[in-house]
Amino acid sequence: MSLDDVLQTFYVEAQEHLESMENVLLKMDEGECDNEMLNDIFRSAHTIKGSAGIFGLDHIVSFTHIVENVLDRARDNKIKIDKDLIDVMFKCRDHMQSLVAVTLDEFNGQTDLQKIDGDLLAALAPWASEESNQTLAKTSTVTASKNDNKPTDEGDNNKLWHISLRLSTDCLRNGMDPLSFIKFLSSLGEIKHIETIIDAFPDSAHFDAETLYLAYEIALQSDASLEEIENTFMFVQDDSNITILPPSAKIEDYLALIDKLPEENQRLGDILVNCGSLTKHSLEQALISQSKESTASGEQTETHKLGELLTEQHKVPEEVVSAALTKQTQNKSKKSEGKQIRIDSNRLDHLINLIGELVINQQRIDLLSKYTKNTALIEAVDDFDNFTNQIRDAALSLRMIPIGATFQRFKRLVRDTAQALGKDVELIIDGADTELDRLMVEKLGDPLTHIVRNAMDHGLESIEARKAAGKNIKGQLKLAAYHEGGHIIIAISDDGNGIDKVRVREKAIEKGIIHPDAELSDNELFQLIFHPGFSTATEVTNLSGRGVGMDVVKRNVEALQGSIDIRSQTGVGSEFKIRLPLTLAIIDGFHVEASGTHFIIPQATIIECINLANHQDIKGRHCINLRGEMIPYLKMSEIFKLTPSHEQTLANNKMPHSIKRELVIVQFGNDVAGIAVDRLNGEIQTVVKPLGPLFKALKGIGGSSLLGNGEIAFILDVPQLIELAIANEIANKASYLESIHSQEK
Amino acid sequence: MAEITITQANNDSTEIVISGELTIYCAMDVFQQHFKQIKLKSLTRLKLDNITEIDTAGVQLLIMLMKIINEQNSHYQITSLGEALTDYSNLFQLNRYFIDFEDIKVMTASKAEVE
Repeated sequence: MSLDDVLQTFYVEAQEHLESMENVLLKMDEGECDNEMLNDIFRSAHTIKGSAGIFGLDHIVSFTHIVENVLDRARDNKIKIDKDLIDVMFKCRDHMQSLVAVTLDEFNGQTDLQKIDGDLLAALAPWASEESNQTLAKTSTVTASKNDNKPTDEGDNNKLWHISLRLSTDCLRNGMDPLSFIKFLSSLGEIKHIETIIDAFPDSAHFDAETLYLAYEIALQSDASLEEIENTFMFVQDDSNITILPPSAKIEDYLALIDKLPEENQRLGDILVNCGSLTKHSLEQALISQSKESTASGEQTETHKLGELLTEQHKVPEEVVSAALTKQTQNKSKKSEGKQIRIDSNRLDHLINLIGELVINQQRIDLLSKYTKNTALIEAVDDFDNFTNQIRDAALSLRMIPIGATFQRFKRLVRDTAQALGKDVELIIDGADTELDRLMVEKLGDPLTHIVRNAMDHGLESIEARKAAGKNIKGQLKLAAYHEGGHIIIAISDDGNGIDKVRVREKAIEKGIIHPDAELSDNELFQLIFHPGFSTATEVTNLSGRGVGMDVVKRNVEALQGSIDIRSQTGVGSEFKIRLPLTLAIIDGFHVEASGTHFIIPQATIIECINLANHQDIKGRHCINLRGEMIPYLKMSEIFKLTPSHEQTLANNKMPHSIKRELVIVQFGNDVAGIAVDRLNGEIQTVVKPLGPLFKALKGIGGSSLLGNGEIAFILDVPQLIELAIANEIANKASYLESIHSQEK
Repeated sequence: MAEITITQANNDSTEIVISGELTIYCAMDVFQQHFKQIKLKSLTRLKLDNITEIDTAGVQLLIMLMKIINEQNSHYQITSLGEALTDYSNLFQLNRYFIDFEDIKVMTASKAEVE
């Protein structure tokens, strides 16, 4: 692992800890507070500080040290967690995020960041210990924290740890200097003795100046836990031989601790590690020994169990192992739960792309096998088809992540926004387990933020207004996610005042968006708020801006092949419903042809297919009467100005009866329209390839795909086409009525 | 970057002056260019007080230099340590390596016996 990789791991883990801190703070803000939560938040701050110390990121260490000190005092019941402290802690957590984003040099060059640092440390002073405040006054470097963990009783040899370091020989080459570890260890306590061993030095002919030859034996007097000391070496543990011997402990303490362990899946070794009986590295060594022994003995002889091996190595007393084994048996049923690995998202995207290619090739093989009319081959290809589908689904599921983490982030936004607006708002989250394509989750953040801010700013009333309306003074904002008809729905609803229809109409007329005589349905009226530059707020606040965002929200959602519907009732509340496809990579489509050009219609949008010739076309308009319902339709050949190829024209001339007008009825949200095509070719699984920038302006096409026979098919953007069909229908109707009027005159 | 000056004096001594940053970034070059083929007289004087920064790679280089001195049956005198090396030496409790050369001599000799 190179230094860059390790640093990257630090940033990722720091982010996770910061998120965890925020979640705990949000719970505390809601009035919850117990020891476990205090331990969690303390551990997060402590780990960030420890890891930062290893990389010499002193600006993070010095600030986090004070935060950690305050949290530690709260753990010890020396101070009480109150609203003021939570407010400061939120700011500290945000500041830590800013600190993690900059290097030490960058921090030293940014006076504004340093000012925030100083202000927040001053704000923390009432809760910090005397010692911390003195430290703060003196210096803000990592060395300032040295005394904090030092034992008070110099003669207390029970606190003496022994650390044996045989670090990886590539340690220096990878950017890790033992200097950092020793410096950090000295911040955990007092290094009583350190023996630098030079035995591994080669002769001058074989000396490599970038290889580490030094080894260390260290005696550390410290109150720190095994985990804390072990964390010092977390980034070099892989290739190094590190043994940490804890101060002598009583067996009864180990047994008591095992009994106290939480109900979660823990392997025997992990239990012992949590007990402080051995280090993770010793455990790994024991596992390796076990594996070697197992390989050497083969299947004929019974291999030693890990517990026996540890006891044999005198690393753990036998009673501890047996207690741990009992605990492990209790937890066995939960063994497979929660095992996760971290994968680079680029690798996953590469896999999805390859599977996309596999799907295309499978279709080609399918086509070719049908030409051969070889039954055995066709059956084999069908099986292959089945497996391809399973692989596709399994691969796509890898990219699905729960929306919960995104929703959780809004807790903080809602809290801060409510505070800024002087409103009392409760956020309710529903369907956090609903899974969405990772790409969509990433792109949903901004639109959701904007809608949530708008709902809080314009939707939910002030406390006084709610009181006057006889409502609960605590406004409700709900974020929900669920499946509906092959789509994912993200609904943002509030119990506020609803959209003021009269005001929207007035504003739209004032801005020249609609004609004063225009008759609009509620839905059409609500859609006006997505118009660029539209804003109904009489007072512009810096929270939801100046009406420049909602059109962007709509565009962003449409870019994800989704749509937004609004429902609102005056005095009761509003709901913004974002409808999204399940995935963006591979879709089930319906293959159609118009004027020799291939199109794919996403299958989830199709209601039915009918023969256009069997239905009466309403005069002057592209509209049919389908079972009493007027359905506008579009002709692909007209919309995309398609002309049939020479061969096709000849074929059509020879067999004019072969040309059929088929109508595919599609639905998106509440709107229904028809798409007129020449031929229906059937269902097809298709890989969505994005169109180049040249085609960006082309309305009605969402992407392209390669067919099994090598031809290109265009994937239709149904929402845009429906919008177009409805707009055309309104225009046709108007011009038709106008022509009748002029004839009558 | 470290700057190395090696002077062969007429009084059967060699003076090595190291100044600047003696770190991993230059350790390989310093060893290859200056120490690997070095010829030492019976006394080697080390002037280390101008080392402004030193890390473990730099310290290893100094220990290797002492081994080379020993291999060539030279004796050494450290005329000055400097703040950077003193700090490192205090932290790692390495003073005996840099102050009392006998330890190095004994250690390398005993290792040779074992081998």
